Amino acid sequence: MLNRKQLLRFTIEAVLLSAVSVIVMLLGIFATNSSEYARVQNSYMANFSNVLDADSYDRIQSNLIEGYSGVNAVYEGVDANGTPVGFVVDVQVTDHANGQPLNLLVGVDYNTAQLTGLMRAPDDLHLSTITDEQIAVILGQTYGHQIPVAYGVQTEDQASDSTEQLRLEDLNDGVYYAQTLSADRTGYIDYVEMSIENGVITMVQWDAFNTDMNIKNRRESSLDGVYEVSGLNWASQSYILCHALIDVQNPDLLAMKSDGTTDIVDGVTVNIRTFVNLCVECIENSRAEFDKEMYIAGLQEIVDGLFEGDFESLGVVNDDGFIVFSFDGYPGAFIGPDGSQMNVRQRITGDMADYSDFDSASADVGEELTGDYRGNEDGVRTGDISVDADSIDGLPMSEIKTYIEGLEGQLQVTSDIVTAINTVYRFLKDYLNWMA
Amino acid sequence: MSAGRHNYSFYKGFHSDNALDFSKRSSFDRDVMLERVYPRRLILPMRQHYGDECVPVVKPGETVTIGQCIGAPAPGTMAVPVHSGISGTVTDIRPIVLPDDTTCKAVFIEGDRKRTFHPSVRPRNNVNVSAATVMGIIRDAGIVGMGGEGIPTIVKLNRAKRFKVKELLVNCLQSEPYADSDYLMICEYADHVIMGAVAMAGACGVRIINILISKDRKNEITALRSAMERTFSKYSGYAFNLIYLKPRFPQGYYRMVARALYGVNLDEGEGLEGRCRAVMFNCSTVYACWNAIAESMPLCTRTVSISTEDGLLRNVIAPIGTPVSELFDTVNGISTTSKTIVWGNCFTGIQIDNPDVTPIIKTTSGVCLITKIQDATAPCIGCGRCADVCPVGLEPDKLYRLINEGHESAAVKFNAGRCINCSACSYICPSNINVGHAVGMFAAAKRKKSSFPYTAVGDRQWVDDISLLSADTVKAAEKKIQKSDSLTLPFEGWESE
Amino acid sequence: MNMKHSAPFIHTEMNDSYISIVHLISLIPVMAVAVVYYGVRAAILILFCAGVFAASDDICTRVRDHRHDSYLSSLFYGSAFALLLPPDTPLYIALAGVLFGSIVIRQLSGGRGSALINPAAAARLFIRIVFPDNECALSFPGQSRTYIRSLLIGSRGIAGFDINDYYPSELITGRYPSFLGTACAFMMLAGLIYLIAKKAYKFYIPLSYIAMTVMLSLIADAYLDTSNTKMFLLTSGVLFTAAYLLSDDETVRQYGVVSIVQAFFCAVLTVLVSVKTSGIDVIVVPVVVTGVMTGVFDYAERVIRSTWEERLHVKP
Repeated sequence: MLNRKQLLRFTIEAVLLSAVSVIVMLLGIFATNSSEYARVQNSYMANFSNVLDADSYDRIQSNLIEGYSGVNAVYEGVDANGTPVGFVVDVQVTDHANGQPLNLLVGVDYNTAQLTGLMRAPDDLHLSTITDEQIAVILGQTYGHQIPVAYGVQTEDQASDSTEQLRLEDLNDGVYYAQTLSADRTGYIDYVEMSIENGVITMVQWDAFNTDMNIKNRRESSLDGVYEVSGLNWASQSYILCHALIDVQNPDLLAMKSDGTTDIVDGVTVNIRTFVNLCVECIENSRAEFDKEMYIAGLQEIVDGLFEGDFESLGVVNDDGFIVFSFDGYPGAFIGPDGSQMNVRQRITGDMADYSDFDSASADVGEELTGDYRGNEDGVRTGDISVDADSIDGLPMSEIKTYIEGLEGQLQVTSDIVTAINTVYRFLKDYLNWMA
Repeated sequence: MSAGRHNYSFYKGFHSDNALDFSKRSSFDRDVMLERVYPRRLILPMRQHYGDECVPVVKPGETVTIGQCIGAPAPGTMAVPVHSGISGTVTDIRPIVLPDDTTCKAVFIEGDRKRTFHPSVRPRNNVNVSAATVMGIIRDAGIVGMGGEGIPTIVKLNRAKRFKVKELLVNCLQSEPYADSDYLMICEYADHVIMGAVAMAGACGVRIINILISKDRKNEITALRSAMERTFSKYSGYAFNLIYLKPRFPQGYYRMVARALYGVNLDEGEGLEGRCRAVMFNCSTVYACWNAIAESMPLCTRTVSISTEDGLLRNVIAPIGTPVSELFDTVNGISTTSKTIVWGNCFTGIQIDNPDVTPIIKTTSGVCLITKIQDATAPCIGCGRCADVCPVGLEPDKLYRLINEGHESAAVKFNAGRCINCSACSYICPSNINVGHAVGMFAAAKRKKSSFPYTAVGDRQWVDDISLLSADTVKAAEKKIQKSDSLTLPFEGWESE
Repeated sequence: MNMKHSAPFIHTEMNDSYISIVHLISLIPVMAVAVVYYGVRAAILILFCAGVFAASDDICTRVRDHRHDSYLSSLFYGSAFALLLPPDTPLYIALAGVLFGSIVIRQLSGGRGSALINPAAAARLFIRIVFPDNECALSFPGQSRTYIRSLLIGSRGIAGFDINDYYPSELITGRYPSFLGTACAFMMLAGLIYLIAKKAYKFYIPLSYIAMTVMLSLIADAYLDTSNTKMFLLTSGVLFTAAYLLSDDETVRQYGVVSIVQAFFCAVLTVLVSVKTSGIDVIVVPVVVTGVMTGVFDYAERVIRSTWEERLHVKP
């Protein structure tokens, strides 16, 4: 055996060799980063440029991608400034004609969710019976249209006309914001942020932050499985609801019932009353030109006033810049001179004019979500929600944005390719927080 | 005189990875290169050489002096005289067993600290003596091969004359680890070595003197060169050559020299004289010869290395017969506790348990203190390192297996008999198998009796030259043996020259 | 002679443990490559294979005859085997290979020092034959360093990457999909230099192998229009063979002319195999065949040497 001196010497040699090896490796990696990047970009460019036009592509690394059925890889395309341009998703579907896999590259625009490209993946083994020509036909019908896709008929004019008809009036452009003044029983303060461009609601976001800043937002909590509701997860329902509002442009048209639920938005089973009230407030703020910045500043002023200028020490601003403060203990903060309940805008501006024309405007600001996170009190429809009859590829029909004719007489082929596109939509929606 | 020839080596062998690097010794060590040891007592075995035992010529109680003959060869025996290295009183004469299992009588002498020299020990006025005188001096001085073989030098000289050798080789290739005595002696007494070589060359009628040395021995080479330059002018009839060989073990063994210098593999029973027309002597032997010629000092002292694996080294000039324990006593800081005492060198030496009663003899070039670590023996991994270092080209791993499994004839067929027991294979074996011992013992048992060149019956006749009586034939010598002839008076013959 | 302890009384410090540790340490550079590029799963694979190999050897030794063999050589073989695996190899495949190498190749032939062929190479060849799909379990280096699911389920691997697209700097640093330890030529050379510097390996063996491989590869380039020599040297893993497989004391002669002949033979086989196939075959098949041929080389060397020595018996 070895004596102590030899062991010590070998230990030192091993440690030195390890350290030198790691340093050399890291230096080598550093030195070859540019080569690797260039090579990889060349490869990506060669493979993806026909699917998504971008200056460079980055592969997205995530364990979630590894486990997501149908998705092989996801790449984000960015322009020269680093601004995301879109996504290229390597997706695999099964050709039902022979049961063989078909790998496709699907390109989706980052902002508009429109299809930018569709082609067979370079590493596809050509085992499927689906031909490149068939893929090209589907591409021709879907290119430039929003995903998800279904085969059917819907004209664009119809869609745009409906938008025109639904526009509210007197909306001023900008970003508007409203939050509940009291936390619910679980400590969440709901908020809605709404963007209006050219008098049209173009973006709606509904989420909630917790007075305990260690707890994640309700959306993240639902994706993590902490916050559970019946049916789809809360984040998805929020997304669906927000997009439904964008579609209908009027909270009234969400047909909220007296119990706070709605039947017309597929997939939404939670209580939407708080959402509707906050949307109404946002619309009112838009008409009163009380934008988000003014709202936040106003809220801060109110809180400041309660603590006589000691706002900084309260630490009520979370990482996202929201003011996490429940006025439960300060009921008088929003009582007007005539004893009526005011909102933030009214409290700050003193303008008590009525900017709403909503039937369902409610004074139930701060209505709590009762019960636990499991959502039995959210007005869940009895029985399981069925997605087979009125959905495609696991997506409710209400989400479908584009209808195509498909391949004549080749419904299954059309279905298989459309599945690839919709798989991309589902993935992007679920895992990349792609809801803006 | 040539500037030095090529870098010879036999292609095997190795340079020990734990040979002490003496160039890194302290300046104190370098300056005090050779110390003299003055022991309190001596134990003088009557057989310290290859051959027969001498007859003690002193009695207990008798006073002896330095250089006095203590033991004389009996007529018709292959023996050389033994001389005392201290002055004192003989206390006992009794048999002893040396570590190499040699059993012989030994004369025990208690020193008187007076350092009284025998009257015959005095510088010679004229060193230009005849060849016959040189032979006689060497014979009477009791000089043997001091590199370890122990062959009486007179026997080798006679053999060299018989074979009409052309070259005299001076072996300065001390290649065992932990051994430095020859090199120190060369640095101190380079002139003696050169002159001794000249004398011996003249004695056996040789004109070419080749000094074999390792190329890395810079100091020794410088000393030898200077000595050669001084001598060359006086003895221009001789050709001196420095031949550099690689510092490998066992480079100095005669078979290795034959292969390296002459490209021949000596068979069993062959020597350098017969095949290569050369005779080789160790540099210490050559030095002793000149000492005998110039100072009339018989062989009664020698240089001995005392070394430990901690790097401690002393080279001392000690009287032959000094107990090993007294050698250690002269070195400060040495401790024998938990150490293995090796009589000889690390590769060919023998462990001794009783240093008090074990003397250094004429062929002991060093004593070592080693911590013997008994590592576990592992199975042979067949790495072939032993074959890589085997100087005689054997495959010790295969021979070991054959011998262990009883395939002796196969082992002989694979030349197991050639093993020279140098222990290089055991040294290098990663599995700590003492391959060399197993193969060496087998080889020794199987080797022919006449395999050693100096045991051939024919050589016996040269033994008579070292008997006390000058006789022409063996038979005549035997007839003329008288009791008084059993005594040798040191150098009695030289005054008549 | 009747001696208590016989000479020699000193021993080279290069005993079996020393040599094994030197070999183990020489693997550190390529292990570093594996761990830096492939992260946790590479580390787990290497430790698993090394540990199981040593444990298997130890158990078999105890069952056989209770003698203790050094486990350090087992660690080396296990590590070397792991470094020949694709990074996404599941543990059950690695286990099968380790057990084959340890029990079938090493222990059944007699244990330490008795194996005819390199256990690591043989085990890897076994995996190649029994689990051919595992050869695709490659992944891009530097990605998914914390991903360990492949240890349980393997991976789909990657397809369609073209080694010719890679820059020379990437090839030298091993930044391309490959086996764990055969990618980075630079690090394999570092390990080789360490082995030679510690005198555990004769320099002329890898030199002969690499020189012959380069020469034959150039000939193959010229006449058979195969892949170019530079690419071959950097990506085929021949440097791994030169540094780690041919330095195995037990199965490859490490001395004299026979070692050079073996190196040449292995190089010829390497190039021949590379003409027909690629991947791990180029590394392990020549080594396995060379090990089998060791006895033939030994015999030939003995015959030649005895003939040569007879020529030395000439009168001067």
